[in-house]
Amino acid sequence: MAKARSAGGRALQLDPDSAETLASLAMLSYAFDHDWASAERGFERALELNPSSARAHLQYGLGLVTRAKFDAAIAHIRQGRALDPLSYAIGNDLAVALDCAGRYDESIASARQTLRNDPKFAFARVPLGMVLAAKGNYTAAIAEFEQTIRTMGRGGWVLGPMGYALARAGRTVEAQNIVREMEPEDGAGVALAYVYAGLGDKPQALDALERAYAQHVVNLNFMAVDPLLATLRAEPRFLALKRRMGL
Amino acid sequence: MGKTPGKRESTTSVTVPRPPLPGAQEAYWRGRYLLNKGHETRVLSIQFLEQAARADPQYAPAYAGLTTACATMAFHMEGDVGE
Repeated sequence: MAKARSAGGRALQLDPDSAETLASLAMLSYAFDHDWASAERGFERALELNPSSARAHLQYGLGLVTRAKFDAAIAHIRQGRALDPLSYAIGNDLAVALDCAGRYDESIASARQTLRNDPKFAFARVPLGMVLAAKGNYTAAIAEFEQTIRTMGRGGWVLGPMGYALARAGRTVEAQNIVREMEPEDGAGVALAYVYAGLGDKPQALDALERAYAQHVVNLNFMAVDPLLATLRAEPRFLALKRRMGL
Repeated sequence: MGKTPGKRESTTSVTVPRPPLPGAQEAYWRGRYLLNKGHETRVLSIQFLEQAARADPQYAPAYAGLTTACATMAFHMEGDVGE
């Protein structure tokens, strides 16, 4: 991240009106500094300078998702997709935004569209599995995660949501095995919290989220809107962490 | 004789960016292409964008691309980029 900031400083010295640089630095402002006001100024300025920047629309849209400003978020991400219709990343992030907004069927349709465009883009199976799990269709969710693992290997980014789905499906031992597999992994905090939330172990889930905060795990920015963490939302420790995150 | 309809004489000067120094342009194009390709080529894109910046330290697009590549990598927690 230090490298991004250093390059960004130099880029703005050479071209203070670089929309691309302003948007990228704005993304760092909210994701790592938890400074939404500064991020929003950066995104607005970037889009004023270049309204056709698909990347700036996407980055702004994701930031708005973390703040539960779903209508604006989805509008920006859709604008980004209109500007860059071949971007699989944008299709994927649209599915994430719709999932967080609770628009599950639209999210599933978006993820499936991305997979139709490129069946080998296994990353699209993770948001698809997550929204299927959020809808309570655990068997279908687990199938998507297993297929992702066959293609791309095991990592917290897929094991966490799979552990949640396994736990909710009553496959407790398999979920606990995933916890044991992920425990030593640095930065697995949010993924671990998914599994603990699925197992109904709120204290451990909150411990995992607090570790994620200490480790500056980016996904924690989505904690307030992530359907897989919904059972924790009323917990005092969750609310305290949200405040520290500026959410 | 009036002006051709629809055409206006320019009253302001337009700043045309100078071309990059030799070696910077191709490295930049390669870095930008790899950046747009996605996560699998992000590390390589950073290497090319750094090469472009080294070849021409005044070449703003190289630094803008490098900012995006490194920020995106940090956002997606794709590991150390030599910081």
